[in-house]
Amino acid sequence: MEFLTDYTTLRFIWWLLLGALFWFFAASEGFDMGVAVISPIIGEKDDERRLMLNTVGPVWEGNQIWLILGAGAIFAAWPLVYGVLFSGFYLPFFAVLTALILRPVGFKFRSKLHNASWRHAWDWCLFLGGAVPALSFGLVLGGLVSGASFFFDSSSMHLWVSANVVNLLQPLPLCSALLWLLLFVTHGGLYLHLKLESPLVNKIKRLLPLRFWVSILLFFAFLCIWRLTVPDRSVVMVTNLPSNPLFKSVMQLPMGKGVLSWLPQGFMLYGLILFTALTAGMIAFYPARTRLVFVLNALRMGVVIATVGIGNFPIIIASLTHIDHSLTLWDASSSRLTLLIMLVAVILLLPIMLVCTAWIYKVLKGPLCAKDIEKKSKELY
Amino acid sequence: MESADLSRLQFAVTALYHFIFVPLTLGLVVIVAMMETVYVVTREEIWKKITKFWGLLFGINFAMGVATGITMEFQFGTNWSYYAHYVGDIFGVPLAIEGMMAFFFEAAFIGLFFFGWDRLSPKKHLMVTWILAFGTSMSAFWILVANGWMQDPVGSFFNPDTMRMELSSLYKVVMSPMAQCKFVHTLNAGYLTGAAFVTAISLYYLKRGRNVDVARRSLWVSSTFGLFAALCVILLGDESGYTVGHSQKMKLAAIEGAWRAEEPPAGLTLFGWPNMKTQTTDYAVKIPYLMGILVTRSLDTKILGVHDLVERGVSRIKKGMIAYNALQLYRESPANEEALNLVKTYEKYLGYALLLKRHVPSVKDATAFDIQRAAEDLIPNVPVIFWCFRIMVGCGFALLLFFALTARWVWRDTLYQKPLFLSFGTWIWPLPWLASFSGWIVAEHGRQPWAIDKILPTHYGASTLPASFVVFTLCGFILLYTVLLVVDVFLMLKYIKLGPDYVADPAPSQTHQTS
Repeated sequence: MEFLTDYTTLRFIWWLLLGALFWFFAASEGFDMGVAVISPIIGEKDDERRLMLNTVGPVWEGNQIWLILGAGAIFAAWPLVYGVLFSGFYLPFFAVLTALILRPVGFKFRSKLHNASWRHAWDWCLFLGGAVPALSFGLVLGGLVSGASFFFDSSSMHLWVSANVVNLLQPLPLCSALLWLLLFVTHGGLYLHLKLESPLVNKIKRLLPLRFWVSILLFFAFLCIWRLTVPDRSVVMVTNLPSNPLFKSVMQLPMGKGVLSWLPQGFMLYGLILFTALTAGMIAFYPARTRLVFVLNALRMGVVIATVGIGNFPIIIASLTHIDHSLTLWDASSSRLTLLIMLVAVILLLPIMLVCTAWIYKVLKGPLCAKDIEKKSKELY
Repeated sequence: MESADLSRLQFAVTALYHFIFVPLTLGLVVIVAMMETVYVVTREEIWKKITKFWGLLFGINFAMGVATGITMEFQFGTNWSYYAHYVGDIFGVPLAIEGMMAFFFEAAFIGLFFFGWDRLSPKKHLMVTWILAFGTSMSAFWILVANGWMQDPVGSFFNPDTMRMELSSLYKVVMSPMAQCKFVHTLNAGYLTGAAFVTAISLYYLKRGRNVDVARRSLWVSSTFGLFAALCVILLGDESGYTVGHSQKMKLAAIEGAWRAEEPPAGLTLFGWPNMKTQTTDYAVKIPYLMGILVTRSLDTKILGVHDLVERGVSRIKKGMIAYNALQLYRESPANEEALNLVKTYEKYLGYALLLKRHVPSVKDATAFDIQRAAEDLIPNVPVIFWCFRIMVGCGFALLLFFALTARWVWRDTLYQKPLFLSFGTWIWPLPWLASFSGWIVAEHGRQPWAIDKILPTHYGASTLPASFVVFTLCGFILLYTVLLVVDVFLMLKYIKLGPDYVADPAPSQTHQTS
């Protein structure tokens, strides 16, 4: 059993957990952000929008925990990644923060006044609160692959990042951003379909199938751009040394092998096949078995995250200026003790969290209709 | 200003905004839970109405607390990336556990609190409310464990291979007296804030002669709870003083305006005018012996003054330079055992060498003059800390008196005969905030120049960001927060004026159609 608490194993487990947290975030908060994006677009009247927002009203805050926890876990388990990611993408993170700040107040304040322009303004704040994090999540996932400009001062390990937005405004992160916005919106649409008892469902039914098709195209484009713009990197290193990104060397293989050369890359091929198969399932079963389609969509998100993680392995985020300083899962983690303690905390607390969440969703189950809103007009969002 | 100073300003501004909402959340949720408990026990509808009314105000405040809280977590990465690298191994742990163990319960159950009234039996709903209250308090616990570690970094060591602090014992970090004291002191300050909020609004209703049934019952809960919290906050504040006296001697000296050590037991300076230029405290009014007894709990332990601590700083910086220079040698050739041993011996003072970074590009070349300047950086802004401390203590005792009177008259049911007290009592509400803010300034401004006491200077922990970026985000936060604060206060006042009857009335209001 000793290998379980080995530094290498712990790092690998925390790498998996990092992906798992990303996925939990996308699969849960994805739908409430999606709903916030959809509601001002397809809801023309105030009561329609209000109805849609209230389908996620009681649960969105609980979903947000995965975002907070994700950031906290990166801080504790991957402090170097935390520093590079957050300061390297300074302005995008400011945009995300602004958007996230608007969410709790938007939900809470929106229906507290009976004033049309007041509500209208908050609807668009909530729209931003959904769209900006969705796009940014995609940007960051794409940015992990394409890399950032940073290096470490070897004497103090002081991090120098060019907090430049240009790194993110590249085809790969942008394509990923669109893909994730689409995935979130689809997730929100499916959730609304499940939860609403209203003519709005017909609108959603008309809009969704096209999105399924587009998502396959976008994911395919994402993989192609990846192939075309990101060099293969090979890393030679020991997996259980103290976390110092300066101890290794990274080789970049020449680029420009063409779009078709993604074929030999197993992970990309499997990723594409899985993604397409899941999407095909969604097309086939929608709208007959929407609950299943919703689950399939969540699984698709997992496939994208796994593809990014495995494709980048063992690098977590590459440095564009000093490729040897790239952060990998073997040299960007916390100490062994910290990883171990955090793992124990996760093993103890995660089941409790999941049980509580399941109970809450069970209590809140059942569709929502316009009458429900009227009845409890003052209490609801 | 440099980008590090701007980042510091941004952190201070966003933290203070966040701290407008946190104490009220902490206190109000417990009061609401107690009110609901009374409802579930007695099954009197009036208590449900009371619970829902204060719950609504709690909700408005909670939304702002969450909104401003996310910024705090992200800023360690965006603006303090070297800090994140240097102490993330330890500091990140309580933050992450807070997410799983505390914030989760708040975030997941708050939806049920507001929307679960019809879906849950009263007992189950009460359980949800208490889980919410528990989550809120636990959240404060883990955050203050993290903050306590910044004030007194125990349970950790410096790793020369990774160039950062690493965890050696989570138990020590969690059970550190500093963290424990801070937690109970801050939690009770939150309870006090909640109690003062409910009491002030209830007195307002009594004064106007409206919602008397709600106001009287709310006062039973809030005045008793407030009295209890005021007692706890003062007792635990004294305990905090004792722990600060142990580890943060400079902060203590600043609180006291003590420039030079006195013969023990030292006197307590009640009032005076600390003067940064002449480095004396003018017009000091002193109580003999009291300080020594309060802080050291003995009659013969010396309390150091600012000057003594600067002198001590000079010698520590010199020791720190030994560690720093040895560390450079070790990093150039990791086989150098002698250098490694030297690092280990003087590890405790390494942080002091980093103080020099502000004055000289290379620590090795520091002159006696640079060392003196760096040691003088150890002096915080004495008058600010001196006065903030006195404001905090003053507010604490004023609130104790206030709650003692209120509780007495509430239980004798003679409050309505005291119109003067009713109108004066409503205006007590800013006091807990004033106390919290002053206390925050004493604790965090008094920690300067350190981010992590004696380990990492604040200016050295900042990200390498262009100053223009930080100016942009700082202005952005101030603008956004101020607009939201105005909206928040507007809504609060509106719902306080509409009152519990409006909130409890299920009929949708007439204005709905016209909009």
